[in-house]
Formats: sequence, C-alpha cells, structure tokens
Amino acid sequence: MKAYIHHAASVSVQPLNAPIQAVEFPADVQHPDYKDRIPPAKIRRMGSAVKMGIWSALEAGAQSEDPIIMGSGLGCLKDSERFLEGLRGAPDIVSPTPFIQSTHNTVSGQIALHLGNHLYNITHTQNGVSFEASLIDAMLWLQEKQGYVMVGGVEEHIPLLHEIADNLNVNSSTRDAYSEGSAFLRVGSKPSDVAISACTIAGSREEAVELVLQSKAELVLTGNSGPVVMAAPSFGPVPTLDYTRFTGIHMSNSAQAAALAFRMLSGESIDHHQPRKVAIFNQYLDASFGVTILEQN
Amino acid sequence: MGRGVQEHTNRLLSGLTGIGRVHRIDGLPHEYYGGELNQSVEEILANAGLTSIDSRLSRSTALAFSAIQELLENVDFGGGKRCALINATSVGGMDTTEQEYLRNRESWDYTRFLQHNLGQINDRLCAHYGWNLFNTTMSTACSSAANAMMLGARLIRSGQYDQVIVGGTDALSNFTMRGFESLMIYDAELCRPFDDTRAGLNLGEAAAYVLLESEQSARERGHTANVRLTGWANANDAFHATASSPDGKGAVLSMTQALEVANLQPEDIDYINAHGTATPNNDLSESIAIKQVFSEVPVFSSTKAFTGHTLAAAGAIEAVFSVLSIEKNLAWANLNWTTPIADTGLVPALETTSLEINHVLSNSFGFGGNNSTLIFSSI
Repeated sequence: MKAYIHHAASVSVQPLNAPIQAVEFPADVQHPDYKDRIPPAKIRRMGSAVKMGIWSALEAGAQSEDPIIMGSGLGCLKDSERFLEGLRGAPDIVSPTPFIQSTHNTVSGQIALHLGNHLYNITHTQNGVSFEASLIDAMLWLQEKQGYVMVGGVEEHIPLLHEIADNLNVNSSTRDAYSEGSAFLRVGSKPSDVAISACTIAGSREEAVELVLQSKAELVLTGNSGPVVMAAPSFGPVPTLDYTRFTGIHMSNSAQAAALAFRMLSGESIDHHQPRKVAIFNQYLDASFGVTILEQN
Repeated sequence: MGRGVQEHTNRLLSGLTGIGRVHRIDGLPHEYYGGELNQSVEEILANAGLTSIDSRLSRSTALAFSAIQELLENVDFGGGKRCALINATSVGGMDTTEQEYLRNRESWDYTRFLQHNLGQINDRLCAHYGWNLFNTTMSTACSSAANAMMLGARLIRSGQYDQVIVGGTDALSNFTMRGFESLMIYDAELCRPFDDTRAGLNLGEAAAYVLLESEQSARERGHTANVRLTGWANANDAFHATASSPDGKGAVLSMTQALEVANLQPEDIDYINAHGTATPNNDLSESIAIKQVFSEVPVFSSTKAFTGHTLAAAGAIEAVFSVLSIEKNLAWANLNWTTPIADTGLVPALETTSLEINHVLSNSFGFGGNNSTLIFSSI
C-alpha cells in the first residue's frame, strides 16, 4: 500500500526558502526562526534536536491525532555528553536536566507534549537506516488504520564526532561533511501528488541495487549515512545524484533526502533533473541499505 | 536472577530478590542497590558458550547475545521462514562510552565509542549469526521492549513475516544510575513497588527475547505454543517529559486500547504485571489508571523488586514472566510491600499466588509520556 506525502519540511544545511542547491562543506545548519512556531520560553529549555524536530514536524503539518514515528541514529548527543561532563566534573551532585533530555525518544515525546498528542509515539534507532525503519512502521500503520502519520528523522552533531573521526583516520572531506538536521513528512492513506510506493531495508548491497533497478526509477538519489563513505554502486543507465551534497552526512540524512525527493517530484528541478520517479539508495557502511521509492501520482 | 528461563522461574518461586549491592560500576559516589549480574562481559559470553565472539563489545550487547543464544537453542528460527528482529535498548553501549569518557581524555581509546550506537547491537547479532533480515531497534526509554513486541506482532499480523525475535537489553551504567538519582527517584534502600513508603526505583540490568510466530508458521513446523500475544497498544500521556499525569491518561489509553485489540473486557484479565517502578509518581499514577480501567482490580504485582527496573529490557523480561504466569497459573509476588498507598488502597499480590490465569496484562511506561500495554493469553 502506498503512503502519500501531504507535506514535508526539514531543517538542514540548505538555505531556507530558497531553491535546493549543493553546499560547500563544512557547513552549518540553517536554523529557522523557531519563535514562529514555538513559544520563546520553551525554546530556551530545548536542545537543538528537539527544536529542529518540533519545528519540522509542525512545519510539515503535524496534528494532535497523527501518530509520530521517527528515527534517530545517535539521539540527543549534546545532552548525553553534557550529562557525562556533569558526572566527570561534579561527582556528587549532577543536574537532572541533561539526563531527562538525553533519552532517544526525547524529540518524539516533546512533539507529542507540544501538540497534546496521545497517539502512537515511537523512536527507531537503527544507525543510518533509522528513518527507513520508521517509514516501514508508518506504512504498516496506514495499512492498519488509514489516516495520517508523521514520519521523520532527527540527528544532532557534536564536536566529539569530529574528534573520533580524526582519531580513527576518517578522511577529512568525509569528516567535513558531517552535519545534522531534521526532516518530517506528513504521510497519509489519502492520495496526494507524490506517493511513497515502497521502503525496504536490505542487508546487502546487491539486494538493494536490485530493488532500485526493479523500481524503474528515473533518478537514484545515492548517499551515505554512515561515518565512513562507501562508493555508490552502478545503476546501469539510470542517472544518480549524491544527496549528501545537499544534506551532509548524518544518520538521518535519508529523511532529508525524502523531503528533497518530495520537492523534486512536486516540480522543483535539481541539477536539471526532473524525474517522475525517484529511488533513494542510502548506505550505512556495509551493514544496512535503505531503499525508498517515491513517485508522482 | 540468573541466566535463562529456568533460573528465573526458580528465583521467582524462591521469593528471593535479585537485587543487591552494585559492585561493577566505576566512579559511583556511594553504595547503590541494583539488579546486577555479577559477571564480566567475558564471563557473560563464556557462560552462554559464545567464546568465539570478540569480547570488545558493550555489556548491553553481551547480555543480548546471552539471551538470544538461549532462545536459539530452544526454537527453530529461520529455515526458510520470513524472519525479522526487533530489538530495544535505552542506552545501548553507554556502559562502554562512559568508561572511556570518564577517563583522562589523553588516554581515550576512540574505537570504544563505536559501540555507543544503539543499533550496533543488532549489527553485531546479525554479523555473528549470519542473519540477513529486517531488523530495527526501538528506543522509547522504559517502554522500549514492549514497543518492540508490539511491532513484531503487527508485522506478523500483516502477513509480512512468519517469525520475529522481539525483546530488549540494557546494562547498568553510571549514566543511568546517576541520572535517576539526580531526579531523586533512586531509592537508597531496596525498592518497594506500590508501597506507601516507596521512595524510588533500583535499576537492574537484563536482556530478554521472545520468538513471536504466526499460528500457521508454528503449525507448519509442528510446534505447539502455550501462549498468544493478543493485545498491544502504545499511547502518549502528553503531560510531562518524565512524570506521569495525575489521572494516568496515557496509561488508561494504552490499557483500554490493548483490551480492544485483544477483543477482551477488563474482567477477562486474571493478573496484571504492572510497570510498578516504585517511584512515588509512577505507582500512584498507574494505580489510579488501573482503578479507572478495572471496576474490580484483578490480582496485580510488580516484579521489579525481584529484577530492579531493567529499563528497555523490562517489557521483555516481564513478557517472559507473564508467559510463565499463564503456563504455571501463578501471579508473582510483589516483594517488600507493607502498606497500601493512602490515596488508592490497592494491595498487590504479597506472595506468589496460585490462580487460574488465562489473560495477563503487562504495562511498560517510559519517559516522554510513552505508555505501552501488552496482553498475553492462554491457548
């Protein structure tokens, strides 16, 4: 069963309210004016993952009766590190705030709290395919219950990721492309102009390539969500475009790639491509491969 | 409590808690009670007969290996079936991360941070067992494993899969122990679920996994199951980041919706394995919610005074206890209880009690207002 995209929104390295463009890395996330959607008193207490997540969910049209299903490979890293720093710095007394905000489902829980939303509320954390796992869960939900679901992914960057990369000899251009951000899609069983026709997590590259070829996509958006870049495989005559040029590298960048694909299929051309059907090929190291097929309805 | 279903059954029947003084966590400022497995990572793997595994892995991963190995020795998993793995953890490799992070920065071994990712546990399991199957990890704090079981059930009901391993794992860590203590809900004494004097939880560490299988698939391989997972629901309390609402709205919704999925009435439930963390807030809110759903409250207890609160593993551990309840017609004892909560007056099962049990309702609630309920039924 297809899931139709009704709205999508992201916070990313892409400039706000501008055509999609390739970005020079290292690049900072282009934060929106969160005050437009979140009361300032609340913003001050929120970590960046929470801000990005709530803003993009609201911008994509989240309602109080939409289940919230999202992915995050590494969760709320800033607060996790802040709490560890607290343990190191003050062995007796530590502030509970970063601990509360460190749990992986902080963002999905805060979105529910913000909306007064009592529905299914889930965070998947399967490294670089956390978004695909969320989308598979969301499509199953729509098959069971119809209606709408908010599905997305959020990732937060901390300098320690750079430090780890440098110490483990990750090449510097990969490391410089490390980024962060969020994206949410409001998907529903009710038809719209763009459909997600399939989403699969494959355990091997060959299986994933085969799924892409079978889909008859006119463009493959390829990318790496893992900390080390693997070369994109060949898809024969089908043109490819590396989506990390637009999103940077992080474990939830395939959510942003889905938001990009939605814009392309809604008529926006990127690098002169105007496909009617797109496959997202997301590789996380040699371990997991996400394949998501989107098409014009 | 030990390793394996038999050791856990024996321990439950003995009425002796698995909680004691915690010895294995570095850098704690004072003594803590916790449900600690008194074995190193190497010992956990060796006791499971997994000596070929590189022991440079997180404790949560080692616990997961130990439990899954026991499961695989007792079930036929794979063999042409359509299989999946739905794991759950709240802090994943935090035990490894904190060991490095809290050391002198100049001497960090950066490779150990690669164990941090929660999804890494599945990657290690799949690599070791040679599994190429759909897998994901759910992390919704203390309700994680219940949500993994719910997704596994939905995947089977949809007809997409025949067999799904579902469960969760979490090791004790300085991070979580100090975290709950910073919230002033870590009891310095033994935890007392549903007792008026309760002052917080004791954490525990555990892993538990269950094989969910479609009726048809089980029949095809000549397997007879004793218990069905009949009901499931997840609802959000949408009240506070960590605390439950005074009226237990999310808990009422998850229990009510799980009963609907199971097509059961409240009076059909014979035993409730409650979330019952022994925090003042949870046990009051859960009691109020139970009283709202059940005009006559069934026999209920929290087994967390046996295990400690095992966070993301709790829903899976308690699923196993619920299955045992049905198989043995026993409601497990709620240890350390003396006085009813003044506002609700509910009295849990004080001793392990024999009664006919056909339907068990099991609650798991977590931070982020995350409320999940599972219902297990006899066949």
